[in-house]
Amino acid sequence: MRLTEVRLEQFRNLVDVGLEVPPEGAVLVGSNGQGKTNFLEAIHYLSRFRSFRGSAHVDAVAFGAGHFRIEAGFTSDGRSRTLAVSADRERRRILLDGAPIGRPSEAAGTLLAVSLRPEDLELVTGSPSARREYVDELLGLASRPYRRALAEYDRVLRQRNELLRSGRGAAQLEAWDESLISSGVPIVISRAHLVRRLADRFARTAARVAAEDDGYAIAYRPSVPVDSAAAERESDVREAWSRALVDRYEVDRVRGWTTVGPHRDELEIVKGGRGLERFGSQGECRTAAVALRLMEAELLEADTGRRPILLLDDVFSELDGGRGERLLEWLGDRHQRFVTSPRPLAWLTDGLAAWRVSAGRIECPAPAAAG
Amino acid sequence: MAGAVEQLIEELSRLPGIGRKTASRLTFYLLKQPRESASRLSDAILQVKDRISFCETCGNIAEGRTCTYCLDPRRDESVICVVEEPSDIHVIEKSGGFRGRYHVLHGRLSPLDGVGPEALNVDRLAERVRQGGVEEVILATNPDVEGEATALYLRRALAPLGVRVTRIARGIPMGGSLEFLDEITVGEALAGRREL
Repeated sequence: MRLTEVRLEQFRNLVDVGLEVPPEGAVLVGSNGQGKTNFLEAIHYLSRFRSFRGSAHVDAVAFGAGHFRIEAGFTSDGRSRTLAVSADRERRRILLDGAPIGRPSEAAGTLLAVSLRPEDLELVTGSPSARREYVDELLGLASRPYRRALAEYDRVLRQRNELLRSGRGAAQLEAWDESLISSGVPIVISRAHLVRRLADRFARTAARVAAEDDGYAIAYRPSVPVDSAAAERESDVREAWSRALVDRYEVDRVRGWTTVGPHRDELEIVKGGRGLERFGSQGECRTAAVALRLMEAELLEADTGRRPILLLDDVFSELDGGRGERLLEWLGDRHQRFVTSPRPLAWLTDGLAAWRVSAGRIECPAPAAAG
Repeated sequence: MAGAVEQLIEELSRLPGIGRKTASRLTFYLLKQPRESASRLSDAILQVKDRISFCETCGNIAEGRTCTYCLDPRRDESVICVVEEPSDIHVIEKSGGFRGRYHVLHGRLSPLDGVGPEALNVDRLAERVRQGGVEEVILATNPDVEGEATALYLRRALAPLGVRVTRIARGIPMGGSLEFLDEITVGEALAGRREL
């Protein structure tokens, strides 16, 4: 999957940008605050229809403007396609190959992109909810039933918690327990299955970025008391969960919320048996974060048969020692990639066009001789 | 704005699905209508309140103490179809596929809205089953989170009474082509398949 051209209007500080894009991608070079990350954000937005900054789409409208527009031409499975999204305060319009799309979910993932950002460190050192979101996004991108299961589970959970708080729910509690389990079981099973699929890949990827085989590993730690093998069997999860709901009833009632279920799952990330969330060094945590994102790219490719575009935001200045160079070397030219960097490092720009970004303008020098 | 106009807008905007904008459009429309047309409308509203009540047996709307479905001797007394609202009966009747009796809950379980079983027409349902002659109770609550929980609650509540309890199927609409259905609907239809 490769972008061939990009047009941006009023997207943050990128007021008017039109670019032809080389098949291998580009390095965006410029000082901070010039618009490098905004360019990556725009591509990410076309892929997921939301910002990786977690902000509402209206916030991405350039200061003083009424709307933004992102448009891209790209090739996918040998086809030339276009995808455009424009948004103002009121609404958002998505055009795929010139035809309007009703719901974003119908076009999400048409353009596949994976972002690697300094903020990904949060995935490893932040709260368990950051890691649950990561897992949910991986599963949700490929599966609409999973997204619906999450929404349903969330609704049942809120109902059950309200029942616990109101303190007069004994008569209907069993019905809500059964609903909770029915809507939550597919989530537990999907997560267990995904993490099992990813575990080896993660160990391999992290070892390669770190250039040491130091036992990086991930494990699914479900809140429902089952081991990770049983977590993939519906009857085991159901049984363990309903027993736990009974056991924890007094605790739940006193606290006024449900203490066992996938909303409290953990994706554990360890190195040599130590949990990185609490005991990891900066370098180790960065390595793990990069590995999680690369895994996201591999998984999307495995599930769709299309190779995602990589958006690498200032990743190389964050990785110590030779990790950055090894990462880039390993990526090779399999993916089209867009890399931001404050300085035009020789090893970074090797084989990639260098675009200068300054005050919302992106300049592409004449293409260098092929090499 | 004149007091009377403001008051009507206020009253109309309390109706479900009607916001202030629509309410004021309706108000100004009514303002332009002849007096008898407005009077017909206000009469019709009062008639509904005065003449219509809820069936003592099933909770459906009725002119009198019993609704037309409970009075109809040709309907099968051994099957009761449980719905959330009287309007759901209308939908099932239009399908023409059901000739039994009904039972209206007047809502569904929703702790977030403060609705528990005591607020629903449940005791009367158990009473009807206990009186005998009922072989099957079909739970036709909506296939959403609250409707499912309500169905699960009723299944448990009816279990000791030894009556057969069934749930309406979810799946592929007639005339629907598999190609155009979303994977959730298809998945549910597969899970709910039956022997041919």
